[in-house]
Parts: sequence; structure tokens; C-alpha cells
Amino acid sequence: MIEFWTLAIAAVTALACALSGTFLVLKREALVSEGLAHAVLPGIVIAFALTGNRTSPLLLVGAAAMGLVMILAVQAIRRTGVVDPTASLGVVFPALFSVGVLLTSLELAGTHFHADCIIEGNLALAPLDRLELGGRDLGPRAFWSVSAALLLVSCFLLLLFKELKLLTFDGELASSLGFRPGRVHVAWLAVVSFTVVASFEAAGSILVVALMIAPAASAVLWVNDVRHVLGLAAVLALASAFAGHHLGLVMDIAPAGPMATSAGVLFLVSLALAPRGILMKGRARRRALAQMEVDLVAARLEPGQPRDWESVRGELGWTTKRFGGAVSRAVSGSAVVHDTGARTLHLSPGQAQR
Amino acid sequence: MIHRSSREHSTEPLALDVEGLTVTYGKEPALWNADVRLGRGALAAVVGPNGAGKSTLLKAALGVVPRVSGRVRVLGEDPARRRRLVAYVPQRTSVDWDFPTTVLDVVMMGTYGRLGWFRRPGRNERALALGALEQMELADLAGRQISELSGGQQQRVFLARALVQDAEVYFMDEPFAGVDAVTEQSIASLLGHLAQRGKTILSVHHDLATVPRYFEHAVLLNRAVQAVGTVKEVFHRGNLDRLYGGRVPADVPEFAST
Repeated sequence: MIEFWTLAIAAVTALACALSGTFLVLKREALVSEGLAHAVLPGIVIAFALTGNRTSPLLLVGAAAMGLVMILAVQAIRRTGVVDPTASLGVVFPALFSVGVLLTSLELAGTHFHADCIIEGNLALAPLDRLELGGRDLGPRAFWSVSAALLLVSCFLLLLFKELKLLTFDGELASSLGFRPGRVHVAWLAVVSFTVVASFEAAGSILVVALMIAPAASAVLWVNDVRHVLGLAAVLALASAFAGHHLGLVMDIAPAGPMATSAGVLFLVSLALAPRGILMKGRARRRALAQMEVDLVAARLEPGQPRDWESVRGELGWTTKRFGGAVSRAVSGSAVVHDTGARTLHLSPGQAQR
Repeated sequence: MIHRSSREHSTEPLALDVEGLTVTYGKEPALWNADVRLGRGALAAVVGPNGAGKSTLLKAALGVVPRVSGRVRVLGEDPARRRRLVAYVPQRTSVDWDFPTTVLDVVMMGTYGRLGWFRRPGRNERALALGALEQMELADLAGRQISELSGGQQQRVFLARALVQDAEVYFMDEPFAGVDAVTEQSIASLLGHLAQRGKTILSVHHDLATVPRYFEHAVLLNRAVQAVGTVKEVFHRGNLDRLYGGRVPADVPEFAST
């Protein structure tokens, strides 16, 4: 049963993170997830200190609000133009994170929040922390909090998909049409921040970032439509969750690490093999070049007027190997006729019109 | 209840009435006290040196950037209340063309204003978008990934999106930037057709040599508006030398100032 809950928490966390991370990737602000993963920690600790109750849903909301405020503050600092944009991230978030770690060791000594859980999360133990209502056991608390995040993200996407897409692609048009892109964006960041907080305890800061960014960054290499990107990111996130959980069991380690690794491996595979990945791009370029070589050879030939192999090669200034390759491709494509005895070339009669 | 007519119905309201528009991004004003008045069917180029606030004029009139002061009326109405009166063609380079979507989908974004919040585009919006694509001779590219478009095609997609909005006043930010000669001609004739149908166009334009050919009105801007009027009235060497500080290339056609 514990295994079932671990997997369920992992799967729901992966889904919520991937769906909320997709628009960050599309808006080219993937670093926001990194920022949030750091900024919510002091939020969690301060909200805990204020509520004095680790299981209160207020803790989630308070910490999410804190994360949102931090993100908006950093964006405001960037807009002033006084600090370099990347530097402002580098300065603010590690500082916030360290405050969080400091507060953790002061405030929460002896409680659930240990500094080492912050990085890796505590997915393995999460099923043991139950949510009880009126004496009835409703399952692990973490499951309910990530499910709430997934519900929130899904509702936002269902209601405001069109608005979110428009502001991500063309904020100025969104603004001129009256869609208030600034406010929608802040509302969306609030949802993202809530997702980060809800996923934090189970997943930890590294895994949250990996699950938010890797599935969407992989998906955009495969498909060409925002809806399909969302769908494929969800599938890849689930695959990472299942694979990571299984690996964790086999290797007898905490599942968070293998989950992040799986998401990373899926990204590397996509980067290599996807239509917009490295290999396909390279192959397309090589094919285009090969065709261009054939065309260059053919352009120097006429039908019925054989030319000397060597003099055509000399005109193009190619090595024997390169020229020979181009000629044999041209011959097999029946563009060019190669008289091997006389070592001459001429254009196939059918090619005259080209 | 009896209304006394408070509005003057005898004179038609101006298509675009910008009064005292001032915008700043920092210490210096990007746009200073700009007045621009255009009647219906005006086809106007905004010209001026780099940093003269040409894009800012459009964005502030649209309410995309906040203004320090000033008032904008489109056909006598506050454009913030009547969004459907205006269409906007941003600079082509202002968006990410690697965004995963199709040509048709981008053009359909022009219908979002009419749809309003929460409603999704349907068959109707699709038909409108296809019609606009046809008009821009892009119908066969409807399903194409936007990352595969050439610069001229991107520009025409943006114009198709503005056509779908079916507005009265069109703000365009350099619609001729980076397009080939054939596309330039088709964009110019589109602007002419729109103006003939009584639509009003205010377009940032960089190529001084083509202003007299493509436009009927000109707004000479260098943070403050230096002159507004027909091309014949205001687009002459004296004004241009003043606008560009005497650095106007010799190939700009001369116009008699009288």
C-alpha cells in the first residue's frame, strides 16, 4: 500500500509540475521555476512559524504567496535595469534559499523539515504522513496537496488556455485586445508557485525544477502545437515518475533522484532523436548538401555532350572522393550518365528541362 | 427621460484624436505632448529618427504602455472601452517565431478580442481566419508551422491577423520591415484598399523614399510631433532636414512646400 501511495504521489506531482512548467518553457522563462524552488523555502518556514501548524492548508497558501511575492520582486528589480537580469536571479534566490535553510535549522530543529530533505524531498516517507478528518484516514497528506495543485493547474488551463497562449506568444496584442496579460501572468505564476510548494515536500527543490522543465523542453522538440506540447509533456512526466519509482525500488534508494534522472534522460533522447533534435537537423542538412552537390554536377552537363570526368571535377575544385560520391548519387538518381570506359559524364535526356 | 443631445452630430468624430500624449520610460520623455488628428480613411506614415518615440506613440495610443498624460479617442470613443475599434500589428521581431503553433492559429488570435474572456475559437473564427489568409494570398500556408515562414510571410501573417479583427483604426509598427519587393507591393495595395474602405491607418515607416508612394498623410515625430498633415503639405525637405538634423539622404523625393 505504501508503494502504491509513493507512486501515486510521484505521478500526480510529475503531472502538476510538467503542466505548470510548459508555459514557463514556452515563454522562455524556465528559470522562474528554479527561482520559485528556492524562494518558497523561507516562505514555507515563515508560514510554519506563523501558523505553528505543519499540516494546515494555510501553510501551503502562505508559502505559495511568499514565492509569488519573491518572483514579482525579482522581476521588478530586473525591470529597473539597474542589475543585470541573470545576476539578479543569481543574487536573490540563493540568498533566499540560504535564509530558508538557516530558518529551518533554527525554527524546525527536531521536526520533519531537515535540510537534506529540501534538496531531495522525502517521497519515500511521504505516504506515512496521513491526512485525517474526523478520525478517518484519507490517505497521505502529500497526495492531497499535490492533487490540489494538479486540479488548480488543470482548471486554469481549461478556463484560460486561449488567454495564456496569447500572452505567451504576443503580450502586446493581448494587451491591446484588453486581456490584461500582466494580471493573467501573475495569476498563472501564483498557480505555479502553489504547485512548487505542494510538490516541495515530496519532491525537493531539484526534482521540482527537473519535473517542471525537462518534460516541456523535451516535448517542444517533438510536436508543433501548444496543446500537443502539454499532452506530450504530461506523458513524459508520467513516464519519468514510473521509471524513477521503479529504479528507486530496484536500486533501493529514494525515488526523487531516479525520477529527475529519468526526466533528464528522456530530454537527452529527445534532443538526439526528435524531429527538431540534433541528429535530425544534422541529417536534414547533410541530405540538403548531398542534393546540392548532385545539382551542381548536373548543372555543368548537357544531354548528349559527354564531358571529361576529371575536367568537371577540376571546375568544381572538389576532391576525387567528394566528386565521385556526388557522381554516383547523380547516376543512381538517373540524373547523370557516367560512361566508365571513356571516363565521361553527360546529362540524362530526361533531365534537360531541369 | 428626455436627453438633450450633448454630442455634436453635425460633424463626424475624428477617426483618431490623440491629444497631449506624453510617455516616459526613464528620465527623458519618450513621447512629449503629442497631438495627432486623423479623419476617416487617412493613410498615415509615422516617420522620425531612431528613438523618436514612433512605436511608443502607437503603444501609448493603444494603452499597451502607460501614459503620463494625454487623451485618446477613436471615433469619439475611449479605445480602452471599445477595443474592437482598433487593430494592432506589432513589429514582426517582437514575438518568438519558434513558438509551437500554426499560421492559422496565429491568425485566429485576431478573433480573440471579439470572443472575450474564456470562450474558445470555433468554426466561425476558423472561417474568418481562412478568409483573411486568402486575402493575403497565404491560404496554402494555413497549416504551416510559423517557424518555417520567411520574413515576408511572417509580416503577411500579422497583417492577416489584423484583418480578422475587422477594426476601424489600424496601428502598424513597420509592416514593410524586411520584406521583398513583391511583398512590399502587396502590403502597399492592402493599405490602400483599407483606406478606400474608410479604414484609418497609422503606420510606423522607415523608408523615406517610399512615403509619398504608399501614404497620403505623414506624422513627423521626434519625441514631439513636428508636423501632421498630408504628405504634400508636410513631407518636404525643409521639415525632414529639421527632423533628422540635416542628415536626410539625397534620394528622398522633394516636395514643394506650397
